[in-house]
Amino acid sequence: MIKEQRRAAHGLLLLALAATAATALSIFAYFNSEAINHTAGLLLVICTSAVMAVAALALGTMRFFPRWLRATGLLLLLIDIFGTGIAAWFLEARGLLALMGVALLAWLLHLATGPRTTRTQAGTTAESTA
Amino acid sequence: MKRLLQYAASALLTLAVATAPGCAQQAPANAPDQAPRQPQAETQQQTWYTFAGDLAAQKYSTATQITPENVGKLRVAWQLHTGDVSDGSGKVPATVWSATPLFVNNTIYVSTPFYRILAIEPDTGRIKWSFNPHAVLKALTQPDMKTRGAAYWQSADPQPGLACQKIVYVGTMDAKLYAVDADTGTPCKNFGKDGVVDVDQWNTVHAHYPLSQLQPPTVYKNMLFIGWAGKEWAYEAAPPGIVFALDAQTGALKWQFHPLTPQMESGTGKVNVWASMSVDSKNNLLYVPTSPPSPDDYGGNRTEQIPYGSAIVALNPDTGAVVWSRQLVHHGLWDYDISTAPTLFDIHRNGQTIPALVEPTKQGFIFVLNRLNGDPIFPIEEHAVPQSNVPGERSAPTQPWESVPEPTLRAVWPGVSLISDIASGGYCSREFSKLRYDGKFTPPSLGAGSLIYPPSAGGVEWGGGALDPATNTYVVNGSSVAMIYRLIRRNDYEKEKKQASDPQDYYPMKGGPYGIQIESFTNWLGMPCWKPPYGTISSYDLNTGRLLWRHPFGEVQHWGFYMPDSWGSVTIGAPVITRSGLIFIGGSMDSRVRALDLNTGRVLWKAQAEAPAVSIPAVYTYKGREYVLFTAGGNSILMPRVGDQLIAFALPQ
Repeated sequence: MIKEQRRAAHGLLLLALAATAATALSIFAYFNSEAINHTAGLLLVICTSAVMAVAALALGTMRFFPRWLRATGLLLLLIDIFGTGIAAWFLEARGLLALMGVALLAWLLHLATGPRTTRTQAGTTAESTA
Repeated sequence: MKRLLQYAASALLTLAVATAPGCAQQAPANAPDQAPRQPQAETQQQTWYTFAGDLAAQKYSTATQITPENVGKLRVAWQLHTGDVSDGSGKVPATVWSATPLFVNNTIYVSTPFYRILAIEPDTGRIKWSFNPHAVLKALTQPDMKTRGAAYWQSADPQPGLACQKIVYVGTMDAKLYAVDADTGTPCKNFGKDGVVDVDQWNTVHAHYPLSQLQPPTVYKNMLFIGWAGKEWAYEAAPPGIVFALDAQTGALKWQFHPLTPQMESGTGKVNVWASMSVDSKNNLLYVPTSPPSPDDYGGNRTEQIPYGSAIVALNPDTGAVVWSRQLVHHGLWDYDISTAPTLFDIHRNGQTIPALVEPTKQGFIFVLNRLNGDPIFPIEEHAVPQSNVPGERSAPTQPWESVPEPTLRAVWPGVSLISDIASGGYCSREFSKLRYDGKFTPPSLGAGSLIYPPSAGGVEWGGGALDPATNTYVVNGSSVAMIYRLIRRNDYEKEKKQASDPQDYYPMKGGPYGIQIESFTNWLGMPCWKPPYGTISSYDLNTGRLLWRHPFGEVQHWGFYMPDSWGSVTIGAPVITRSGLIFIGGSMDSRVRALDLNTGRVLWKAQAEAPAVSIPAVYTYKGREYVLFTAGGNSILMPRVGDQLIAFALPQ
């Protein structure tokens, strides 16, 4: 069971890792890039990738979220990945774009291997592997 | 100029979303490349000794080391930061650095927006010396601290050991012209008073502001030719646009060219030359491009013929006498300056050589004239244009109009942008329906105002184009901008301005019956209400006038986001051409510098600069290595990003 849970969190933890790297990269670019330094667009990406990292970490490590919240969180993560990816595309920031690609793969990995949430008769949330 | 550009570009900013075998090779007798040569080991070099590369304003280099095949390998050879930069947030106004670096006397010379001169080693970027005039850093005329470069003169017969046989000049916003020794940076004591001439000493009529020296002097024989820049929008009766010729060594006044008669000067002013000039050394002619009379956007005070306004005037450089002139805009109401030095070249046709010049304009026209008499080489017709309905105004019934070469802009504005219209809930189309628009040369109007396309910010700006004299291929960048010009009765002007959210859009034209509001035609999101592309680059065969190719050029960047290539970018600055078949150009909002294939216009290489390279690059060869040098200083007209970067590219050694 523990092993399954660990495997289940791999996708979200990878997503959190990619988002953390994207945050670090965008902060570095904010101060050092010649093309997009100190731009509002990059600030936006810093925020969205940081939120992504925190959210993915939370979803990947905490088990007490209700099912609806977990599902909503996963949906918002997907929107965050696409939004940040589009912003990275228009910023012509290839590194960020690649990291969003990794984030998307991690999200899909989570769907493919991650835990599904099922409601028990007692109304509490339990997890089972697919 | 030029505040109008500011608005045009601010529109794009808020969007979320640039031989005469006879001329080029016939440098003046004292031109640096005909001066005594360096030892043989150092002769493997091509100079760039004027604002536009040479006196013919061709912006052409004979360098061939960098080719279309290897340009992709270009790397930064050296760069330096001058430290003379301001974003305007402090006490010093924002900087606009449009200086062409000069390469001559085995040295790079460049002026900064704080009016220092830097002398730089051409292969390392190390500063040899600097000269600081401690200029007044106040926006006395233009809204920003601005320079378009330094100028260089050397004696035809330099005497060893004597100072100031080679001189570098820089002008300032407060109308001072400084001369320093090109080898040491020490002021030339024999020039004016201790190395400085106060040009404002000749500012005696309607002297509302100083005669700012932002454009480097044109140097020919032993003379300096200078115009000036001011605040054309501020007063109905402005200083008259006198051109001055000074002795290159002493600064003594040799002659003045008065574009206005004393009678005209009583009620109007300007017709100044704030842009660069060119020289036909073979035929001893100086070409000056003039601005319209004052004020910019109303002409009821100047209904008489003013033939030298918005014209190319050919002067005898020895006397200042007019040889010929051709007016390119009659009775200006749009601030359509003739804003760049004409490029001189020869057309070879049926065994005959026709001495020609090409002048691109803010209206997007490409006028090609015989440079000995001003006659059109391709037809220019007088085209009936919309008439003003403003009380007191008498607009010209016709304007000069050409179709060959094909203008850089269409005769009719591009139309409402669907994206901008939808994004603003139909604001753009609703607003357009309120405006007066009758095509090119629609005059400013009262009420809701007129849509002006192109405005002063559109078409081709001060950089002009570049010419390959071997083929007479002419390359020029242009912008597509739409603005609203709204005249306001004097009694209402101050009140409206006080209540306006953007008071900087208001221009008083003091002394006249109207002020004017000029704003970019954008929606509430700041998106341009007109369709892209916002900037293009075009290539012409000037033997035939045929358009060879045209592409959107540059990218709009806002909030860091790049818009599609097909939208292009408003550009300031100009291209240069090399003999190897390359075009180098910065100028775009995306702060990138590019190399294009001369034959196709395809981008072959690009690199990032720290701010828009709103300047003319310099191409030079030193110790056998070819360099392409850009000043990347930005321009608030394009976007707020400013810089102090001088960046040289070369092939790896």
